[in-house]
Amino acid sequence: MIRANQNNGGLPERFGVGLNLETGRPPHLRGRDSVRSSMSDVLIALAPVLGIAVYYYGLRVLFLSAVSVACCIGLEALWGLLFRRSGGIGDLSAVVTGLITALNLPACAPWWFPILGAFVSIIIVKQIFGGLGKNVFNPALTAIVFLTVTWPKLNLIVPMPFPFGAAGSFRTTETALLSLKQGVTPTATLMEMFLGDRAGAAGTGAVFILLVAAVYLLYRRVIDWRTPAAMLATVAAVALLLPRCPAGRGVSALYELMSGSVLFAAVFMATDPVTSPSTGPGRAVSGVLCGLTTAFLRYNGIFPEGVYFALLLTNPLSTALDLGWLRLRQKRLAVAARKGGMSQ
Amino acid sequence: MAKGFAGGVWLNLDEKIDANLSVRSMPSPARLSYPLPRKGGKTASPLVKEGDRVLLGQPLCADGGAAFCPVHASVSGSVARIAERDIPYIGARTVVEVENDHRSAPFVQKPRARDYYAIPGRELLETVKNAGIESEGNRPLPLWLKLEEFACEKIKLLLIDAVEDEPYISRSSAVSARYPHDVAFGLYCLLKICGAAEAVLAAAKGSGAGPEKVTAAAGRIGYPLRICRARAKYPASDESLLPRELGLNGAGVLYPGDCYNVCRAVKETCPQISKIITVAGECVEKPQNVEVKLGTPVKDILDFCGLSQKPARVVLGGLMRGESVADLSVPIFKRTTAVLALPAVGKPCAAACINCGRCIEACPERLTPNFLARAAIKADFAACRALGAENCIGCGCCSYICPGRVPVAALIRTVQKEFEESPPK
Repeated sequence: MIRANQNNGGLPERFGVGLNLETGRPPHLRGRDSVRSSMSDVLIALAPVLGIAVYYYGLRVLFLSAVSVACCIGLEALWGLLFRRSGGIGDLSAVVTGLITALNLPACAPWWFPILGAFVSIIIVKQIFGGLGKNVFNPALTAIVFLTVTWPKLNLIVPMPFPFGAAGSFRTTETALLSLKQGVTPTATLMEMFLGDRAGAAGTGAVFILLVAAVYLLYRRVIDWRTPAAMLATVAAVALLLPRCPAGRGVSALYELMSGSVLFAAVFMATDPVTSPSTGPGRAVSGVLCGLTTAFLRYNGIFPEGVYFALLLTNPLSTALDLGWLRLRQKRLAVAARKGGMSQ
Repeated sequence: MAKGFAGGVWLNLDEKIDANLSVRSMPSPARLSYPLPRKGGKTASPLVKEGDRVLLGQPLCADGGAAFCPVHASVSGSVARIAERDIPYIGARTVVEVENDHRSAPFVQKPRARDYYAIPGRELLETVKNAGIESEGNRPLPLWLKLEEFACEKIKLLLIDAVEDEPYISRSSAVSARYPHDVAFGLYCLLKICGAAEAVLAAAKGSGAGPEKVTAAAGRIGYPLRICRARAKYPASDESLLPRELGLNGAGVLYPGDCYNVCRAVKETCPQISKIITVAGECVEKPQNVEVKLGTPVKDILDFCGLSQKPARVVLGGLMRGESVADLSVPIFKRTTAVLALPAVGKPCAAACINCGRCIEACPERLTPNFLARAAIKADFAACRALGAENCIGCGCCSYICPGRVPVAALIRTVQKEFEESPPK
């Protein structure tokens, strides 16, 4: 520590020579949370999801994830170098995009799927729109939709799980959603669905892990409860009203909630801050819209899973939903003010 | 009535600087400068000339009526220079520089002691007006104007705001702990002036024993004073939010510093010539509350308290709302609440709004800072108005919480300045 020198007028004199004070606008204090810390939290929540996927589908999931994450980071860094954009890969958003894309692919997907997905998500959906915060669509989501509609068969053939150590050849089977579409009870029991021991995309099956991840993200205030809650409630409500499973309304609702990727999408994709509304009511409405569209596409679409397309349709509505709510609130305030003025 | 305001942020208040809450008095420096106030189109012109001898407590400019308070010399000496100067963060001002002769020769002789409790309210108000006391708080208003407003609105309850919700700052607690009798007497005068029946002292939960000392002193004078505890959630101490926080809507908010200044003005016929401020920050060797003469340059104050390391940023005021200065010759004036010397903070990363909505949750005024910032960047003032930019209290919670490091509060402030300069037709 430097001691004050009382003889020559104290320290500012001594520091005065090089005292180059910076100026900045208030506040001079910033919170600890950053984009990077939020993304780290998402990665922490995704880690057990990846773990259970590896447990059920083998090391190939790890390989696909590694390819996907590496490509996303590489493309993001390359774009930053080419166009001299600041920010770069430090915010970890590319890692999250890569991992989410990989976890939504079936374990038997070809190795070049994630490469193509990374190109679509990072370059086309994110960077061309102006980078983090400017994209209209969720990058990982768009990559999945692109791969699904371009190679529908490859993405529909899903492997049965073979818990760690079992023989490594893929036995494909039909998913619970396909059974529901045909109006029969899925072969997997509800307990198997809950544990994720069923055919499907690698990371989207284990319901209990996804619930733990959701609780963690809610606790860390990275996600808001409104969108996922509204979305899942709507899907369940439609299933209760129009059950597709002959085993009953309640069972049908549970199958709808636990099958496909709706839970994963509700926790990790619908809550993407950039492509979802920022006001509470806007979030709730967007969740309901997404749930309705999901149910509609599941019941009537060509593909058994409708949640990706539903999110793709509700993503661009976020700003409109927010502004709609704000306008409504303003009108309400104006009416209240007028009434208050009259009563006086 | 529902208690507690919505929004706000919890700041780390562990940086309590002095458990004893003492107030040290700083000797007056060799040279002081007084920027004369200016508000709207109204500018104060100096009442003294270069070379004039001024006395302690002598007015340096005329009373600006409702716009601003007169400035008084805080030492005796001679006027060395009167010049237009650009003072960082308050803009161009006429500055009167006074060479201190260290004699403290008073302008008005101290009158003989009298029964201060018998002074009628009108006379007290006149005293407050002549003393040039500026109310503390975020809006720099003459105290007498605020008191007249309270009297007109027939305010029943005075709320004394000793809530400390920002790191480092402990001046309100220090004033109440060090001068409880003066604060209690000042409050007695203030109650008389605005005809309020009741007073409440608001303090943060878990703050020191200052408030109890004041209530004890008030009990001795013979009026009831209650203590209400507010959450130490920033910005609970804000003038507009504190009544909401305590469920005491319609109360008039004043500060312990106001009470102290009124007491000095009544008992000693002394205009506001000093200010109790907090000097702190990681670079300050002995963080403390100091009573400084108005007009003292920041440099002398940092000299007095000592620096332990080279500061990268010096802030006048709290961390959340204070302004940083690059030039340490800036004097302390009535609005200054603290001097903070801070080390360098890490280089900020590139700002990008990810629309997470944390700012909406944190905004105590229930605005949508993310949309306001977007409109402000586009200079779309009509949109800013529609989103309620005028209602922003400038607490800075949005900037604090923003994970994308967008300078939201600064953007909204810029828009508000634009509004002030070109009011709507």
